[in-house]
Order: sequence, then structure tokens, then C-alpha cells
Amino acid sequence: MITKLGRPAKILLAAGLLAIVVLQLLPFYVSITTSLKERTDLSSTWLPPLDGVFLGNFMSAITDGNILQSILNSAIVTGVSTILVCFLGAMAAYPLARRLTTMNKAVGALILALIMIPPLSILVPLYTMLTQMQAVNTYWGIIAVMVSTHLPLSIFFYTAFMRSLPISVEEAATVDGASAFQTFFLVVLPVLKPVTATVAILTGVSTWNEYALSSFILTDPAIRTIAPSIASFFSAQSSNLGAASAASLLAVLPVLIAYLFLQRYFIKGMVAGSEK
Amino acid sequence: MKSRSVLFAVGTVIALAATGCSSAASEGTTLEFQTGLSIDAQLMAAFEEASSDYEAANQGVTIDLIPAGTNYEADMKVRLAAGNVPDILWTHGWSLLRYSEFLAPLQDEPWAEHFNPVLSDAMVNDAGEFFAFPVDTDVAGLIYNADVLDQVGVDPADIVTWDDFTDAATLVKAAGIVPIAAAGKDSGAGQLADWLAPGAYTDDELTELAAGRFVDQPYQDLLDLVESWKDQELYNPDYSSASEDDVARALSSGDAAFAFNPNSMVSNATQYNPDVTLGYLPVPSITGDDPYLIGGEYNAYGLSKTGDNLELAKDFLNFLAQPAQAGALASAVGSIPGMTNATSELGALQDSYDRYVADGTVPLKPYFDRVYLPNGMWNTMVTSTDSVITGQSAPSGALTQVKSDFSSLFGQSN
Repeated sequence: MITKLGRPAKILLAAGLLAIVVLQLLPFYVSITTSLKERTDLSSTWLPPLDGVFLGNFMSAITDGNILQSILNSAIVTGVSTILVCFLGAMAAYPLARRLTTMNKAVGALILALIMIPPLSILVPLYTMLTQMQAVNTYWGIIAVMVSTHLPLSIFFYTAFMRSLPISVEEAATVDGASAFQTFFLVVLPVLKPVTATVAILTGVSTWNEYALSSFILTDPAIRTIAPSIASFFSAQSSNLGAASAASLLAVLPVLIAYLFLQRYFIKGMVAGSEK
Repeated sequence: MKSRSVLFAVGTVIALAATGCSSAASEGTTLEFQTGLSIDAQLMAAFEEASSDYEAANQGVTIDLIPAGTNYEADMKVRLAAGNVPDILWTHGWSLLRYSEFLAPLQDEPWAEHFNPVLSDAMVNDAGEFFAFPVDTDVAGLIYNADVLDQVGVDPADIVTWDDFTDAATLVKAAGIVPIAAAGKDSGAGQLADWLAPGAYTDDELTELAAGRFVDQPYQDLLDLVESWKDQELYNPDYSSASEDDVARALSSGDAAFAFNPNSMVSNATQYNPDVTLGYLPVPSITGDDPYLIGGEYNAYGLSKTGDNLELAKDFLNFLAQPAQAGALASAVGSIPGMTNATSELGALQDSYDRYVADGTVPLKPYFDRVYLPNGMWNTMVTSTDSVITGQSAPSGALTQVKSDFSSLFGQSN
């Protein structure tokens, strides 16, 4: 139900929205001013670069920080992880949603319980295992970790969504002679778009921004994703805020461009399931 | 058909990722060198130059210089626990107490005869073994901005007691400048306590501490001093959110007068403002003894004793320990070399070195927590001192926490 708002209410609403927009944009503004100043420019971070724009920080982010390689690494890790999480999540959820045996209920509960485990709490055994598997500083190693940590939530979402689908369509497919796999791939999978959008966005954004585990597993600059790469401008002894800000801004660009083109799907994905 | 396309796409992407993975591996021998440095640090640049020279002289060898994030220590703890020790790693003052069981002894290396004996207390064990190549000999005091002190009419050489210091700080505050800049966000409170503690304990009391018996009163005096500065509002107003970088900026711009930090802080501050005049002076003693300097190991690098490339790593250290290389590395951090046969440019700190260090009359004390407190006490030093600075706890309450953790951690480590 949409209620017509009076003029004062509209102005108040607009002012509130404007305040939120300003708050959201402030970190970008500070990043931009910081990235465009020389290290010796000690003026307030709130002020723009009054002595002229300095692009050396962007050069440093690209040459020292290898940020373009890191963006590519993040794209590979995020892309592959997201596809696998969606695909494996949907496949794992199908029997859990449709065969309500005691065993499946127990497996479902167990998967739900996995969501509660903080990833950092298993860091040492996880790192030890990855070392033994020679998976440290490899794409497949970090992808395996990202997929493992995101799968439980994905399975939970797919299971809940599949249970809300009418089973009669699948029964009809079975009557027509379709196998379980054919039913899944040809009948169920196509109607999972809304929940797939949600899972893809949650997994994609989370993997793109991941730092806690990546900073331990990816130490080689050639394989590092964006967050650990930006962190390499900081150490116990010194840091370079200008170059780190420049690297952050460069890293935001691909996501920003993707969002501009895919805005419709992002919003759809985020609100999927919230309406009947 | 559509689902087959999806399957094909997934397979292709995974195959591409796997291909990328294999292309990351390089041929020849690669030494993993965990520098502990930010990617554009001056010492990192010096290491890059030295590594290039070494690689040129040794075809097929690659020195993989790995920069650090701020969680270097946590990263190393995880790697040591997992048995994945880097070929070469930064020991940040802990080559003996924390890392020695994982590192190869280096006392028989050709350069060992030039090992600076000042570092022996911190780096050499009872058997005469040491486990890291020292790039520098860390000597630190109370960092000051000479321009600010000159502005308020204070001669840093006149500061020999904490009363002198407090008087000077009060004058600085009256001039509208922050007297003490501390990085609350980056464990600055712990460094403050680490600087004050050696002068709070007598030799007998230090022996008691080393034997596992905590002595209350000196630490109480230390915390009382910290609280008195809080009551006089001598700390930076942004203490809680300030990072080390903020402290460096404040010192460089003349917005702060004093800082309790290692000399890498001076190096950072001069990067922001090359014209600033900074120096350090001996730390006054709470007990009334002579002022002292704090020193020991800081930029030092050890070798994994289980590494596949141990002999090559030793050869690389031999190269770094040559006088020209060792001098260049120490110059990059503006410190005294760890090798007695090397010389370095001390930059902004040359005057302080000539005045307080060169003649060897000012006593040099080790970093307090590394020698007299059990492993794990650093966090307690940080949180307890921080709670006094921020007013969350009285010195007596903070002391209770320190005493309790001391007993518990000493029990665990013995």
C-alpha cells in the first residue's frame, strides 16, 4: 500500500536520504583527496589538493602495489567461487529440499550449524592442511576455501527456496520420463534465478572483499587479491596512506562499473524472496 | 542445451583458474623472504637493490621479497604452527626468545665476527648462539621535535628527570602544541610503558622479575606517572584513534613535541617533512638513576632451519652482511649497522647519536617486556596502560591486571 506524502514529509524524507548519501560518499571523498596528495602535503584530509593534483600515488599503487594484477586475481577468485557456490549449493540443496528423510534433515541441520563457525577459529588447522596440500598461494587453494566457507549459507537459501516451489511440475517431468538429474537441470534450475541472484551477490561481494583468510593464505604478490594487496602498503614500521587510497579507488572501479550495468539485477537479487 | 552451456562455462573458468595457478610457479630456486616491511618502505627498496645484485651474480636464483600487512606477527605465528616457515623472516626483536627454535644458528657464518656486541644481551643465548642477521642496532630514546622545543625555549639537553620533562611538556601545551603524541590505535600505550619501565625498577627488582616474582611498587609508580600526564592533559586529544602514521605526521608538522617510539618513527616523520628537525634524548629514570637509552634487536632476519634452501639463504645473508650492503641497509632505516665493519648515514639522528651514543657513557637498556616479562605480556602492557590514559581504570586497577597476568603467563611459560 502506498500512502501519498505531504510536502513537509517529502522534504524531510529527501533530507534524510541526502544525509545517508553524504555519509556513504564521505569515505570516497577522503580517499580521493588523500590519493591525490603528495606525502609531504600535510594539509587536512578534508581539503582537496590545493597545490595541484599528484598522480604518483596511483603510479605507486600500480607499480609497487601491483594492484592491476590483484584486481585480475580477485576477479578470477570471485568469479570461479561464485559460480561454484551457486552450482554446488543448488545441487546439494535439491535432495535436502525434496527428500525429507531423517538423515537429510540431520544433514540440513549440520550444514546450518556450519554457518555458525567463525572462519578464523579454524585458521591454524586450515592453514596446516593447505600447506600440506601445497595450496597456499594458489588460485585453487583460496577458491576451495572461499567455496567451502560460503556453501553452507548457499545450501540453506536454495533449500528454503526449493521447498516453496510446487512439486507438481517435477512430478509431471518424472511422469514424462525425466530422470532426477534431468528434472533438476531442465525443470528446477531454470526457476532458481531469484535465489541464485541473491546467493551470487552475497558470495560475490563477500569474496571480493575478503581479507581475514586471504591475508594468511595469499602472501605472494603475484597471487594476492585486492584486500591483502592494499594491506601491503601498511606495516609495523611505516605506511603509505596515499598509495593505499589510490589502490582502493582503482579496486573499486570494476565493481562500480559492474554495478552501473547490473543495477537492476543487484536490486532484484537483494529483495528476492521478500515479496509474495 | 542451456544447462550444458552453463556446465561448459563453469568447466572452462575452473580450467583457466588452474592454468593461472600453474603459471604462477617459477623455475630455478626461489628464496621466500618475509621482509615485514610495507611495499614502498625505504628498507624494502634497499633490499630490492641488494636482491637484484645477488640475482645477477647468481643465475637461476630468485629472491622473493614479500611485503607485510599489519598482521605480520599473527601471520608468522600461524605459519610456524603449521610448519611452513619462510626461508628468511623478519624477527622484529624476537629472534632469540620467540623464533630461535625455528631458526638456524648463525654464529659460525663468516660475518659473525663483526656482529655488534651491543646486541649480545638481546640476541645471543648462553651457548653463544644467535639466530638472525642484524641489519641495524636499534638505539632509541625519547623522540622530540627540536623546532617545537626551541619555540618554547626548552633545551632538550636539560631534560634529565621526569619533572624536567613535565615542565617542558607544560610549556609546550601552553603554546597550543600537543606535548605527547601516542598512537592509541597502534599499541602506543604499550610502547610508553616499555620506555618507562626500565627506569622504574632497580637491578635487584629486575632480578626478582626475571625469577618470576612480580614487584608491585615500581609498576605502580610507572602507572601513576602515566596518569599524572593524563590529568594534566598532555596526551594528544585524538589518542584513542591515532595511528603511528598520525603520530609521524604530528611530529613532522610541529603539531607535537614528544613521542615514545622506536627511531623508525623519525624516519617516517622525515618522509612527510624532510626539513623537520627531530632527535632523541635519553629517557629519564623514575628511580632517580641516570637517564638511559633503550636498544637491542629490531630489523634482523633469521633463516628457517628446516628450509630446503638453507645453504642458499646463508649465502644470501653472507652477501647482505658485506660492509657495503650492510651499510646501505642500515642507512635506509637511519640506524647504526648491526655489523661493526659497516658504516651508515644516520640522517636526522646523527646529532643525537654523536651526543648520546658515540662515547658509550649513556647506559643502554633492553626492551623491558622482551627480557623481564613472560611471553604474552605485551598485550597486557598495552591494555593496562591504555586503560589509565583513557581514564577507564585507576593505576591500582591496571596494576592488578598486570600482576595477575604476569603470574598466570609466567606459570604457563615455565
